Amino acid sequence: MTRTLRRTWKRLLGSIVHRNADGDLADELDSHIQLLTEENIRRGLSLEEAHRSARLQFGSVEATKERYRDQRGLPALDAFNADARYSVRRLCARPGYALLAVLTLALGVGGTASVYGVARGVLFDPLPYAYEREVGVFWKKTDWTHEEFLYIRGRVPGFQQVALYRQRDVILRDGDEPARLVTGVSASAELFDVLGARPLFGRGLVAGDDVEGAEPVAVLSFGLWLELGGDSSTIGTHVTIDGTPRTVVGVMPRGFWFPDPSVRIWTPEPLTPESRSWNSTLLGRVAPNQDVRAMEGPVAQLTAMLDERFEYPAQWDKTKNAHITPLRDDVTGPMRPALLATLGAMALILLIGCANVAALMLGQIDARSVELAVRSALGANQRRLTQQLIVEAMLIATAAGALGAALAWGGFTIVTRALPLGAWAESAAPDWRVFASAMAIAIAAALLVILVPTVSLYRGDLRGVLNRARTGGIDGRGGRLENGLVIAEVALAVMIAAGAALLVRSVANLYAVDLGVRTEGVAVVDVMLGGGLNRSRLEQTLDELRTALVELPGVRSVGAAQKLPLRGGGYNLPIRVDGRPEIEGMATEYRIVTPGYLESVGIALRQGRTITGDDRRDAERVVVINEALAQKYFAGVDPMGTLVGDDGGSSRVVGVVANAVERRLVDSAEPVRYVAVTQMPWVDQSQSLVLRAAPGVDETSLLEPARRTILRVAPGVAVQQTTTMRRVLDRAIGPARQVVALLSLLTALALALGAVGIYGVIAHFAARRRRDWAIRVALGLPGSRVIAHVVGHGALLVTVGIGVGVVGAAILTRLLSSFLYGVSAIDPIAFAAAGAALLGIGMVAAFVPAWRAGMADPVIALREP
Amino acid sequence: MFIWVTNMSAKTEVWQGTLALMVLKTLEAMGPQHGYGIARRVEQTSDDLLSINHGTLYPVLLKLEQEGAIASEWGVSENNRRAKFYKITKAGQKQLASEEAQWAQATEIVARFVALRGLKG
Repeated sequence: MTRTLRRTWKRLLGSIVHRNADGDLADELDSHIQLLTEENIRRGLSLEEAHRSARLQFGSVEATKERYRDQRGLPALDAFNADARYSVRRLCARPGYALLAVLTLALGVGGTASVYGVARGVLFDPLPYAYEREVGVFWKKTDWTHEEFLYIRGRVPGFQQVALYRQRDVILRDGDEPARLVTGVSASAELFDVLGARPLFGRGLVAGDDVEGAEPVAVLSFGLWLELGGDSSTIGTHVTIDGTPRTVVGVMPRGFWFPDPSVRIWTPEPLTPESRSWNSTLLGRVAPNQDVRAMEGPVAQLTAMLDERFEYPAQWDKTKNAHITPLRDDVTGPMRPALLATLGAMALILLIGCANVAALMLGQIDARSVELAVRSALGANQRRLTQQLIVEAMLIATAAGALGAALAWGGFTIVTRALPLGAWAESAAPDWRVFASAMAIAIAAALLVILVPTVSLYRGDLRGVLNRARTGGIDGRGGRLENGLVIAEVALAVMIAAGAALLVRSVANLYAVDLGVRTEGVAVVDVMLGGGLNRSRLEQTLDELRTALVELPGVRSVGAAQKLPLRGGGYNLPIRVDGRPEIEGMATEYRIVTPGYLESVGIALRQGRTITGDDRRDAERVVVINEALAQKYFAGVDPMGTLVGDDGGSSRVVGVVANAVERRLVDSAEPVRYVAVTQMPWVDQSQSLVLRAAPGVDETSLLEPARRTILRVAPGVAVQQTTTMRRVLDRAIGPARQVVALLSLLTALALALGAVGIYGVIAHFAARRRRDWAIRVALGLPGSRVIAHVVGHGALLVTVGIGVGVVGAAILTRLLSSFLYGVSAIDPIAFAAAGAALLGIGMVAAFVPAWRAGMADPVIALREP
Repeated sequence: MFIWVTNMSAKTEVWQGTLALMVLKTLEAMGPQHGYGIARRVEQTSDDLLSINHGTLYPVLLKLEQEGAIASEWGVSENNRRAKFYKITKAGQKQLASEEAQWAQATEIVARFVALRGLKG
C-alpha cells in the first residue's frame, strides 16, 4: 500500500516537475545501445551490422520511451498540462480574442459579485437579533400612540412582550465638540428584550427608564461609541442630546442595528397617556417556536380590546386591516424589490457576457476547423479536443474572475450608493466573500460557456471539414448556434432595456408631479410643545417661537403647521357648503396653520390672501382653499367670500392657493383647506416649524441656531427632529430615482455587450462566406448587394431577439411594479423604446462587417488560404 | 484491436512483475549496475533461454525507482560513456525478500499441481 502511494506521489511529482527527464532518458537508452553495439563488434560483426543487431536486441526505442513516459507521470495530468500550455500559447497568439473574452466575462462577473455582495447582507444574512423569527410589527409602522401602548402593554394576547419605538433625528453634543445631527430611536424599556439583543458593555434599557421624570439615559451604537473615544470608561459619562445631558448606560455590540444601520443612539421614550400622536411603531415577540405569521386569533382579540377602549375615525380605524408583519419583512422588505431587480439585471448581463464568449469561442473553433480536422484525423479524439476547450475556458474564467473581483471591489461602493439602501449603504463594505463569489460566478459562467462549443464539436463532422476546407463557404457549418446566441443576447438586452425604460418613465412621471411647494431653502424643526399646557398657553408658546425664530439672521419667514406636505397622514374632516346638500359627508384634507406658514413652505397664492396675524380668535373665521377644492366644489363659481362649514361652524373663503402635495407624492391633487390655528378650539402639541431661508442662505445652517433659540425661548418645548424640506422630499420620492440611475448604467452595459456580440457573430458570418461572395462579385454582383445581405441577416436575428425579449420582459418587469408610478409594467412605449434601441445598435454592429465584406477585393479574398 | 491492447497490457504486467524480481535479485547479487549490465545479467543467468527486448527493462526500472526499491545515479560506464547506475535500497531488499518467499510458495504450489497430474496419468 505504501509502495503504491509512494509511486503515485512520485508520478504526481513527475507530472509537475520536468527537469529534462526526456533528455536523460534518451542519453541512457543511447548509452545502452552503444554498449550493445560495442559488444557486437567484439563478437566480430561489422559496425553497420553491429548497430542493426543492437537495435533489434533493444526493441523499439520510441515505444520504450513512450511506455516510460506514460509511467513517469500521470497521463491525465500530463495531458492537462499540455492543454494548459497550448491554450496559453493560443490565447497569447490571439490577444484580441483573449482580451475581449476576459473583459466581457469580467464585467458580468464583477457586476454580479458586487450586487450580490451588497444584497447578501440584506437578503440572506441573519439579522442581529436572537428572536428574529419570533418578532413582528403590528399593523402599519408609525401608527401607534403612547396612550394605546400603555393601555395594552403587558396584556397583548399571544405575545410575550411588546415594545414601542419611533425613529428621530437628534442633535448630539459631546463636550466642546460641535453639535451634530444623528439618527436615534426613542423606545419603551422593552425594546432590546423583545429583539433579544444584549449590550456589549453596561446595560440596555430597563423598566423604569421610560417613565416621565426618570433619569435620562442613552445606549450608544458600537460605531458612535468608537467615535466618542471607544473605551469602557465611557459608561457613566454624559452626552448631550437635544440639549438634555444623558448618562451613557450601555454600548451595543458591533454589527447590531435597529431598525436600520443609520441609528446610532437609543434613548428611552418618556411614556404618557396624554400623548395621542400616532407616530410610534409597535412590535412584539411571540413565544419561542411559535409562528409570528399565524397570529390571527390573538390579533382579533387585540382588535376587540382596542375597539372597546378607543374610538377611531373611519379612515384610521385600527380595528380594520389588522395584521402582523414579520420583523425581517419589515426592516428589509422595502429594499428587496430594488435589490432583486438589480441582481436580476446583473445576472442577465452576465448571461449576455457568457453568450458573447461562447460566440467568440465558436468563431475560433470555426476558424480552426481545418486544424481540428487534421488533429482529429491524426488521432485526437473529441474528448481530448473538448478538454482543451474546457481548459481554455477555465483560463479565461480565472482571468475574468480575478479582474471581476477587482471590478466588484470598486463597483461595490457605486452599487451601495446607487441602490435605495438608505442606511445600509453606509454600513456595507466589501470583504473576501466578494472575491470568492466572483471566482465562483466566473467558473460557473465558464462551464455555461463551454456547453455551446462542446455541443457544436460533438455534432459537427470534423473530418468532413477537411474535404471542404478549400471550397469553404455556405455549405460549411450552418452557424445555427451562433444565430441562437445572438437572438438570446438581444432578448436579454431587451429585458434590461425595457426595465430601465419603465423606470425612466416612472421617475419622469414623479418629477412631473407638481409639488406645489418650493422645497429649496426650507428648514424644518419638528417640536412637541409640551404636555400639561392649556390651549392658550400652547398658542402663546407657538407665537413666541415664531417671533423669536424670525429674528434669526438668514431667516426670511417662519410658520408652523400640524402636518407638512409629502408626509401624509394629517386631519381629514367633513366639509359643508351652504346650498350644496349633495356633498354632505364628503371629507377633505384639513391643515391647521399659523400666519406665515403658506409663504414659508412656498405654496403659491392664486387669489385673495393667505392666513395672516389679523385672523384672531375673535375675528371672523376664515379658510384658504386650494385649487383642487375650488374645482371640485365650486366648479364654474367664484369661491371667494362663500361660506364653507366644518364641525366648528362656518368659515369664509378668503383665498385660493396652488395644489400642494399634502399626502403622498404620487397622489393626484387632493382638495385641501387651510385654517388658522388661532381660530381653532384646540392646538396640537406636535407642530412642524418651517423656516424659509433668505436668498443665498443654506437652510441647514439655520437648524442649530433655531434649536438653541427654541431652547432659550421655551425650555419646555422638546425638539423632536431638525431636518430640511429637501430631505422630506427625498424620502417621499423614494427608491425609484436611485434605481433608475443604476439600471440605466446597466442598460448601457447590456447594449454595449450586445453590440459586441452581434458584431462578432455577423463578422464571422461574413468571413465564412467571403470566398463565395468574392466569386460572385468577380462575376459582377455589386458590393452593395453583399452589404444588404449581411445587414439583412443581422436585422433578422435582432428582430427575432427583440420579439423573444419583449415576451421575457413582460414577465420580468413585474419585479419592478412597486417602483412604477403612472406607467404599466408592460408599458408599450417603454418596450418599443427598448426594441428600437436594440434594433439601432444591432444594425450599426452588423453594418461594420457588412461594409467590410462588400468592399473586399475579390482577388485578395480568393487568394486567401 | 481492443482485445489485443488488453492482452498486451495484461502480459506486460505479469512480465513486469517477474522482471522486477529478477532486476532486484541481480542488483542484490552484483551491486550497482547500469541498464545494459542488468539486461545482460538476466540473459546470462537464464543461460540465454530468456531473451528479452532490452527496452522493456526501462519501464520496470522506473517503476521500482518510483516505489523506492532502487535508487539511481549518473556515473561513467566501462567504455567511458555517461550511464545511469542503479542500486538496491533497504526497502528494495525487504521487498525482494518478501517476493522471493512469495515466489517460492507459488512455484511450490504449481509444482504440487503438476505432480498431481503426473500421478493420475
